[in-house]
Amino acid sequence: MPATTNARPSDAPAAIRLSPDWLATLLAGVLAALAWGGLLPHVGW
Amino acid sequence: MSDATLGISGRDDTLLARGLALLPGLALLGAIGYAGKLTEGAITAWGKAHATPVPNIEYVLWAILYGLVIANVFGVPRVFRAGVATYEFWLKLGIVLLGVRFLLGDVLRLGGTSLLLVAAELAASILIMTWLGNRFGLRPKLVSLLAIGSSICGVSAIIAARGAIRARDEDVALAIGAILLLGAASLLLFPVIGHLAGMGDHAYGLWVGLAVDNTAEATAAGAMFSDEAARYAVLAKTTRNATIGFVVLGYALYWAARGEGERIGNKAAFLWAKFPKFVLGFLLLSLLATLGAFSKAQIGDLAALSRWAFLLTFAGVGLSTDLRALKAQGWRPVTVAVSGMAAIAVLTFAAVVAVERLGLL
Repeated sequence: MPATTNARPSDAPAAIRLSPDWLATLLAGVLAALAWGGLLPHVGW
Repeated sequence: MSDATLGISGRDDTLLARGLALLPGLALLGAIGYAGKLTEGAITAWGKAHATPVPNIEYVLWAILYGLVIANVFGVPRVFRAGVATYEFWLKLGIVLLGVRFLLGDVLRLGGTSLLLVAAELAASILIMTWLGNRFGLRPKLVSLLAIGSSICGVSAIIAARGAIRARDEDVALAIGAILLLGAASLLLFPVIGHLAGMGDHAYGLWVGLAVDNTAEATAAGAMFSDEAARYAVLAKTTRNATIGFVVLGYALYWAARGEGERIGNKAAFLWAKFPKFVLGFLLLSLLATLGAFSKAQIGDLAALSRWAFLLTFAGVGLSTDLRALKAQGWRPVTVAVSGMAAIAVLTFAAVVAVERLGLL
């Protein structure tokens, strides 16, 4: 069966577990903050 | 989307080891996605150099094809698997970042239109799948899983429902296999149908977002048509994903009433637990962009980052599709899924065309 998720349950305590949803939101927030602050280098495509 | 968790351990060595274990797979995702991008560029350049019109085949298709060939001809060595499995994370990151390219007003207006269509699509999918599943004599819980998978969010919805309705692993595998099989087929069929029908970017994107069940495949099928279509596909699909909790809750209550499902205590907590949280990130970035927090250049940079994240996702879709496993699903669930989803695709196509004619897009 193909992998369907990027993560697997961990043995870390629940309090410091971070779901991929929150992690993606957090990372996007950091990138947006860097862009807003003029600290994100130009990203081409 | 799935509810799986990333373990962030307090122990640096574990965190470091986990991070390092992801690197080979991430490099593979990047290499395959970039090879797809280079292929698209090379074909376009060849056409220009020889003054020959060549069809513009987006890098999306190449990235998925390369991944499929590697996974199904050679297999993905164990060392790459952890990194390859991060593809859904990149999908979520790409969707959140894409929020900067939407004004909140557009999100609310199109989200509202999408929501009406999503409600109709949900009802139609559940009715069609239940009728077909019963007609073909599938096990009742497999029918529930197929209905959940086809009505909302494909694989993630099935995973979210697995515990709630206490489904058998075999049924979960069958339902996921059928959804992925159709996701792969939709990548080839939807762009062709969209072009043949002369659909506009908005209508096509909305249709894909409503009819393709897995978010990664819906985004890819949109991106194969155009960037603008991908934006609309993501918006419609995200709206659909946001309803995941309600549908899973409905099925959980149905099976709990028959003594065969998870007992639901606090319904609000259940809905929140199943809600795809990255939708909030998408809305937040859309709000910030609407408030003018970013310059045009900054929006361009964040949108480009979103495309790079999708590039990794599409490579992962190909690498994670095991055609042999899909072939082994058995004909009855696949027949139900194929006929049900074809009917849903036709119905949503008609609905989107009607909405477009009414000037609501």
